[in-house]
Amino acid sequence: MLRSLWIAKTGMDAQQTSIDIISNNLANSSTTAFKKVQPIFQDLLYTTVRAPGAATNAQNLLPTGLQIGAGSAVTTTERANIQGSLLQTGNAFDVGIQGNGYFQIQLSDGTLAYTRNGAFSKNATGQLVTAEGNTVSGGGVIPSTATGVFINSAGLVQYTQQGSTALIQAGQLVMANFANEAGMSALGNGNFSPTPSSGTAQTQTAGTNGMGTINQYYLEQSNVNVSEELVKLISAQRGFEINTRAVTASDQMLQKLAQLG
Amino acid sequence: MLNHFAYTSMTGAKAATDQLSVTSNNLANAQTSGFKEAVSSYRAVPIQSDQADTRVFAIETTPGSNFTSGAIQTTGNPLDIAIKGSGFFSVRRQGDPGEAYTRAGNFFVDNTGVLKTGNNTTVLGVGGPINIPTGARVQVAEDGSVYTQIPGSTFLNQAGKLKIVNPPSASVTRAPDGLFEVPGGQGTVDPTARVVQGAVELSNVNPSQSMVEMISQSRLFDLNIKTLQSADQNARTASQLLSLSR
Repeated sequence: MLRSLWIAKTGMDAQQTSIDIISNNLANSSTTAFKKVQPIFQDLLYTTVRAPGAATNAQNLLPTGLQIGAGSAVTTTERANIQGSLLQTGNAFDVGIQGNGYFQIQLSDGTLAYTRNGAFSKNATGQLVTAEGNTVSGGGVIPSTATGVFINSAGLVQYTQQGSTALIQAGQLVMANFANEAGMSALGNGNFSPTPSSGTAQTQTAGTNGMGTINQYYLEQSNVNVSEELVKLISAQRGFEINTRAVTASDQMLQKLAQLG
Repeated sequence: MLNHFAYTSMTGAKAATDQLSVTSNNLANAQTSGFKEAVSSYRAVPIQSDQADTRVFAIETTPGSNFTSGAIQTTGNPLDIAIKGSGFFSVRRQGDPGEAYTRAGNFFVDNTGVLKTGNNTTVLGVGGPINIPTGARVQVAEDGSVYTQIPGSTFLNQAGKLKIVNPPSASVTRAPDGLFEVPGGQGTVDPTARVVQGAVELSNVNPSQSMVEMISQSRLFDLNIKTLQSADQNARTASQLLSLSR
């Protein structure tokens, strides 16, 4: 059947995927430490129907050929690791990263994962845990008798006890960075796991060797720009519509063909 | 028997559907960054014979691409780079020693720190691939020099310089994977090329132009079908004339 029908279909598919991604970004515009995802469009393979210089008949040579592309597709989704703004919350267990890096956490099955969401709290045994209850690596144990908890810019977790101003060290937050952080696989809940394309985790102390600094009483906000996403949504919607017009044109041609004879 | 002009109309209808494919592909890539519109045209192929040449077939060709610049969209992503004016980024496909060219500047860094494009081809600098250390801040100067800076240090390290070539557009062809090539040669480095960081070049497809092209292709197809119908009608009438049963 007509090539254009299928080419326009790939365009519709790509725009639909783009709308899916934009919707997810918009839905997460207030998710702590969410990083917006951008679809990367690419043209599909080109078919050379006739190469330049091919003969059309016994007498004629073609000075130019015919090359028809197969449409477009969303080949990759790119996470834009742009710093989200830090919002002051006043909660001692809220920490935001200013700069590069991820907190290392341990999932319930024992594997390590990485997150930038620093909305931590204490569990029953006094360990520092994430909102889903995963323990934060290097968070240490903060006893229930602690009167104040202090986390400094290098990730050192300290607390004070009743009647004393001496700081007692509970732990040192483990921070990790990756050669290609956009290549990490998203596990949901703001957690990421390393993949062969991201490289292995390189742990560092916060504030050293390019690692960001830690800010207690702050949370990193989503870096989604709602107006930007809405403009993208309009453009994706119209892109979809235009491709449906190409389907209609192909359909009408086929209809006329079917009525022949 | 069908008159020969039916076959001439057939080539017209066929060329119109082929051209619709090219237009559909342009429309499908109206949001592909760095995409260059494929130009299509009809070509006349006269049927030469010993007698008077009466018929000219139509075929569809894609003589090249429209290399005008697309709009530049600011993304804020430090690894998005757009070329101002003409020129191409040089890239190398996996396992292919040759060079290919692209205008799509949405780059990323792979697990070993090498700068790559979205379809996993290595971005070439003047002195080979460009390495970005983990956690480094990337700054791209207007001339394409890539500097990396580890946050907290004041030391700016030059990681390389993007190899931007500017071959004459007539010598550039589109490879089957959508990258551009200079057949049997390489583009030379253009020292005057200028880039902008934190932006990508959008597709240069003009949707209104493509929509109008689509309408004209549809109507051209309709006209050729009309001629085919009239050839068919003539043949029917002729066969009725000769029919003995009437």
